This record gives sequence, C-alpha cells and structure tokens, in this order.
Amino acid sequence: MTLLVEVPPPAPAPAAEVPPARRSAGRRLVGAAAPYLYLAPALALLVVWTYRPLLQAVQLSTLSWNLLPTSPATPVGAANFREVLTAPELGDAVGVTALFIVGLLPFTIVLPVVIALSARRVRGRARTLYQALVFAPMLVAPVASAAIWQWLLDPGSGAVNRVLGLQVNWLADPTAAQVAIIVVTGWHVLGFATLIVSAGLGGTDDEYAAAASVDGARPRQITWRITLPLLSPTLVFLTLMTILLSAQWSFPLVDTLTQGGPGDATTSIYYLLWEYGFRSFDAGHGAAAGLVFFVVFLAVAWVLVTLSDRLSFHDD
Amino acid sequence: MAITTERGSTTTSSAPVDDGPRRTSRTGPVLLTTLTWILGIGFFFPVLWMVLTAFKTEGDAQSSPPTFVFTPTFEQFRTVFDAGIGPYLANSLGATVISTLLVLLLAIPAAFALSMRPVEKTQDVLFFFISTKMLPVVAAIVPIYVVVNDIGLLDNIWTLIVLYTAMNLPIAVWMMRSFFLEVPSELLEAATMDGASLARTLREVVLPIISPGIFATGLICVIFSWNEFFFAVNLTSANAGTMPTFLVQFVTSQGLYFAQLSAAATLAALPVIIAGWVAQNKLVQGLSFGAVK
Repeated sequence: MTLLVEVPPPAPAPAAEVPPARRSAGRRLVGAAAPYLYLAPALALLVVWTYRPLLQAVQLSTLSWNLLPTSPATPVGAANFREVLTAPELGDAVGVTALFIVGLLPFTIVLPVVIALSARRVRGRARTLYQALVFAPMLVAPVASAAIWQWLLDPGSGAVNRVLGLQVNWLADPTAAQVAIIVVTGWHVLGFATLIVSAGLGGTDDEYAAAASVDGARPRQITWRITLPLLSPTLVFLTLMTILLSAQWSFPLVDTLTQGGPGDATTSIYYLLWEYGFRSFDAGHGAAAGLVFFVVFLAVAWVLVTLSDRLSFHDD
Repeated sequence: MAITTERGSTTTSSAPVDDGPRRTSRTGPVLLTTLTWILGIGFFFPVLWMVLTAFKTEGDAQSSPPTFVFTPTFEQFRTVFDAGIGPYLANSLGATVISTLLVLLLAIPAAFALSMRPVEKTQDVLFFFISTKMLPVVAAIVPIYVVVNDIGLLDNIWTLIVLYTAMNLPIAVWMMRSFFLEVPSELLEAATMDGASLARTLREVVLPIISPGIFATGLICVIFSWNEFFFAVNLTSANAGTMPTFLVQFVTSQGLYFAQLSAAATLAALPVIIAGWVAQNKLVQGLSFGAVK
C-alpha cells in the first residue's frame, strides 16, 4: 500500500512496454551481487567463529599439549583418537547421553503436544496466563534453576521428597541423580518445546480440521489423523533438537548439581569432553574427542533431515 | 476438539465454529481442563517458590512445614547486591543487548537474500547455517579458548558478544527467512517495478510487514544469550563474568542460605521473565507467522 505513495508524483507514468527503471551496467552489477553482499557478513562471522575452530581442532587433535603457552606441543599423530575411542569412560558417557536423550523426548515431544493441544481449550486471557505459566521455567537461567532444584531435591527438607512422601537422596544415588537431571532439564526445556509446538499448530491450516469436522470426524480422530500429521515437520525438528542438544542442555545442571557424579552416573559425552579440555587440560585429547562427537552428530543430523523430508506431511 | 490458530486467539475466541464438536460430552472436557491447569501450575510452582522465598527471612525460608504467609523483606536482595552482583548484571545486559542487535543486523539482510530466489544454492547455504549448530560447542571450546587467549581477549565482554552473535545467528537467519517467505512476492515485484533499490525495498516494504517476526527472533536471542552458561564459565572470570557465572559461585559459597540463593536466582531471572511475559503473545504470533511450519 505504502508503495503507491512512495512513487514521486511529478514523474509521468511510463508507457507499459518500456521497462520502468533503466539502470546503468554498474548499478545492475551491484544489483546482481547484492544478495551475496547481504549474505557475506553473516557467513564470514560463522566461518571465523565455528569452522575455523573446527579446523584448529583438527590440528590440535594430533598434538599432545596442556594448553599452557609456555609448554611445548608434541605431535603424536593419531594417538589421541586411539585413546579416545578405546577409553572405557567413553562407552559409559555415550550410554548416559543416550539415556538423557530418551528421557528428554517425553518433555520435548509428548508433553508439549499434550499441553499445546489442551491449552487450546483455555480461552482468552486465561490462555495468556496459561502460556505464561508453562513458559516461565524456560526464562529462568539453567544455573538459577539448578539452585532452586538443589534445594527442592534436598533429602531432608526438600519439597520433592515431602510431596512424593519419599526418602530419596536424589543427588547422591546414581539412578536417582540421573532421573533428577533428566526431569530438571525437561522442566527447563518444556516451555520452549511447547512454544514451538504452539507455533506449529498456529501455522497449520484449520480448513482440513474444519472439513473433517463437517464430514463427521470425532475430535480424537481429528487430532490423530489430521492435526498430528500436519504437525510432523515440527515434531521431527524437535526430535532433531533433542538428539543434538540434550547433553548441552543438561550441562549447566550437571555442572552445578552433580559434577558428573555420583561416580560417572551423570557424565554425558558433553561433560566428559569438557573435563578432557578444562579439568585434565589435555587439549589434544579434548579436540580429538570433539571431532569424533561432531562427525557422529553430523551423520545423525543428516539421517534425520533426510528422513524428515520423506516422512513429513506438507500442506502445500 | 476445536481448532484455533494461536495467531487468531483474540479474534477467533468467540467464533461459533469452535463450539460445534465439543458439546458431545460434558465431564471429559472439564476433567481435561482441570488436568491442564494442574499441569501448568505444577510446572510453574518452582518458579513461584523461588520468587516467594526471595522475599523471606532465612528463618522463614528454612521453616518446616514451609510457610506461605510471612512478612516480606528486601534483606536478601540487599545481601546479594552487597555480594557484588552489580557488575555481573551489567555484563549480562551489555552482552545480551549488543549481541542481539548485531544478530538482527546480520541476520535480516542474510535471510532476505536467502528468501528472494529459491534456488538449489539457497538450500546449501541454509544447510551451512544450520550445520554450525551441529558442531557441539564443547568440541570447539578448546580451540576457541586457544584463539581468544592468543589475541588477549580472555575475560573480555567483547569475546562473549562475538560468540553470542555467532551462536544465535543461524537460528535467527533460519527464523527470519521463514518470515520473509511469507511476504507476498507481488509486493516485492511491485517495488522493483517502481524502481526501488533492494535496500529500499527491504527497509520500506518488507521490514514493516515482518516486524512481529523480528521481535520474536530478537526475544529468542535475548533469552539464549542472557542464560548462556558454557562460554561465560570457560572464557570469563572477574571482569567479564555474566549472571550465570555469578550464580554458580553463589551456589557454591552460599548453597545453604536458601533465601539468599532465591534472591540471587530471582534477580538473574527477572529481566527475561519480564521481557518474556510482556512479549510472549507477540512471540507465539511471530513464530506462527511461518517459522516452524
């Protein structure tokens, strides 16, 4: 609409056959290059801050070095990779990571779908309030929520034991600690996942559901046969995020609540790698483990992206 | 079950279409609605408890059974400020605001360029943006540490600003592109016909239309950078430390003082809680605009 106003009034309207804006060769060149110029700064920043470190990781992974500028770095070839891949703690960490991923899926897929669908029963102002309630945990910094939960999980005076009527020492027992980390991480990311699902629901076309309803479909059928399939790209996206980021999401909580323990019960791949780098100050070891991790994740992501193209229903 | 778009929550809430299929049974929906609320309140409870405890005395906070009625006090907040939370708050604010502005400044043109002609290469570039998110931060932290150390920017707020910008940029480009795709292409063609340059088309035609999207993207970036822990804890200490690093020290040193801890956690969460609540409807609206379709 505004466009019509933008046109300078004194210029006479050009005849329909004549191209309205003739531009010089130079300007046309700039015009053609413009999209690339628009992209360049963003690409440059990412290349410098994510892919250059990756290349450096490749270089570091062949060295034995303790991160101190004064001490020498000795080339060790593939020894770091051999050590990483044969380290017994790696297997345990992979197991813990897989457990976190599986444990978090209900919080990133099932509950958000249930909450987003049921939030639609709530109307008007109440819905705004409801969204705010579910959304709130996401806004609390993970470290802050670790602080609250440390206290809620306290074996003596904590609210959790009191409410559930249990006597569990949550952060000192291996299984209990794993459950605690999963639930607290899940509590934290639920709001974000619900937001994404709500947005996905908002983006789907109502006409299909309306049509099915006219055809006599029951609400349950509409949910399972129409709403959820239309939501499938969103759900695949959330699954991908959960697989890639579970260990990362849980890091602040693991670091503040359990430091990877008791034993190695909550040491995920992410935490283990961090320990390699910043606890044992073994730069080469850390870099090699990071690269292995990256390659595996890239493969998983590629499979999921390919699958999602096949599995997703698109309404266009 | 009635189907409503989030986008139209205000306009369609009274639409008659919604009420048709729901009337079949009465107890089911009431039960479900009650469960829905119990679930919501359950998830909110820890946050509420944190805020309440922040206003208690240490004695009230430790009382068993817990008290809901108490005389509010600002004593804990005073203690937290005395413990030196101020500079950390300022660092967080600086890193968050500057990096978010930088992200938008870089992401808007990039996403606009990516939304113009959907060609094979567009997909490649988009995949490149997303692929940087598959690189686990922990795999890059050692090399980043080495680089930052080499250029003498350890414990410097600008390091965090640059890293937060790089961290949020892929998400922002990806979100913004889907907003740009929703802009009718006739509008762009009309602008070009009228002789508007690309920059002018972007500034005067496209941006006003997608402003809810920009808002949503900005808010997501604010939340992520405000709460970011990993870079902050590994690359900063006393000078450039942000709220999460202050909190982690506070948890370690004052872990037994629940009221103080709650006050610190409340202060850390307050800015984003306010921003998030004020903007949450816009956020859902913006996201529904096409992002995760």
